[in-house]
Amino acid sequence: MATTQVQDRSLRQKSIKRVVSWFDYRRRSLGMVAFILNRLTGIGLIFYLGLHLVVLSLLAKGEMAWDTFLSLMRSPVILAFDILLFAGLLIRGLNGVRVALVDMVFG
Amino acid sequence: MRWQVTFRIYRSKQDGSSPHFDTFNLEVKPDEYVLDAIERIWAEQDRSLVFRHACHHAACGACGMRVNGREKLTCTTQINSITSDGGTVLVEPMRNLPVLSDLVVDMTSFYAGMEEAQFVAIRSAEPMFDYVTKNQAEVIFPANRFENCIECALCYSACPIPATNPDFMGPASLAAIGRMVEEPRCGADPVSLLDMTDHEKGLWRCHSAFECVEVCPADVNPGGMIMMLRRQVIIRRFKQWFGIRS
Repeated sequence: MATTQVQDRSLRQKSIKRVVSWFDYRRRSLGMVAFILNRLTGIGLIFYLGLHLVVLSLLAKGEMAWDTFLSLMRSPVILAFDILLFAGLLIRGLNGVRVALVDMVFG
Repeated sequence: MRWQVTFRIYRSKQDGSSPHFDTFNLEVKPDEYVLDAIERIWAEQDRSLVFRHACHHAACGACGMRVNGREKLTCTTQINSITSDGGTVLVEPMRNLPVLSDLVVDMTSFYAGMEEAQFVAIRSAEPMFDYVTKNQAEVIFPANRFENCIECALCYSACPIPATNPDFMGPASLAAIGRMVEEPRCGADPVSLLDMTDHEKGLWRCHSAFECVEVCPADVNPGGMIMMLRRQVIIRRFKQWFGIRS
């Protein structure tokens, strides 16, 4: 039993280490920056999609709940997050264009 | 002129002990190669250090390691290209392959991928370069490029994909298939070769980071070969959609 737990912990640590290796930029080239940004924006957009669905569910709670939410959304902090979201979409989209161009024209 | 250099070397044994780094101080010639220094550490300071090497001139691909975090053939990496007098050199095994002991990784899965590519490295007849015309040379010289591959696995180590997708075919085997598609030999069928790569563990798993191209010591250009294969697959699909025969 104890051996299994140790093995599970070791496997978990290895998995975390592997995921962290996506973001290890040390001594890497420019292409790796695109890879890291692609992963970061991908994770960010998945998180945003979940959040978006939760927010939309507020509509079911009535006008009052939605208006309160909208007033919260006008705060500068949330607007900063909006800019971040836009930047994420832009980076991911442009990276897609880069990959398509490299695949079909310049690669 | 002699330099004092500190070598921090990754140590890992399959005896249950934790992986760690050992430090060795060594007096070196600045233009000495990293592999020579590792050999002297083994000979003079620690005979339990395990590492792989053979030819000492970048022909066998056995001595691939990470030097100061970057994939290198240690036999052709001069110490003065990576550090200075009083500096430190960090030596680690390659990424994405299981460590057997210290600096040696298990290459079985990598070689299995190359085997799967059915790459025929030996030609039945070599081109006679002295007599080729300019037009022929344009065809023959690019076609010779992949034969440079020394199967060192540096590309597989540098690629960010196998870390979380160990089933990925990897840059070297895809490049080998690319060469067979470019110049089919020994009855190889380009269509079935393309089919071998046209899936989520093959061509389409590559995220175009081009780390493989950066570290390749033999100008194989694996990333470029992957892009070429993608173009071939897409062209073939378009032809199929519009009923055009190849």
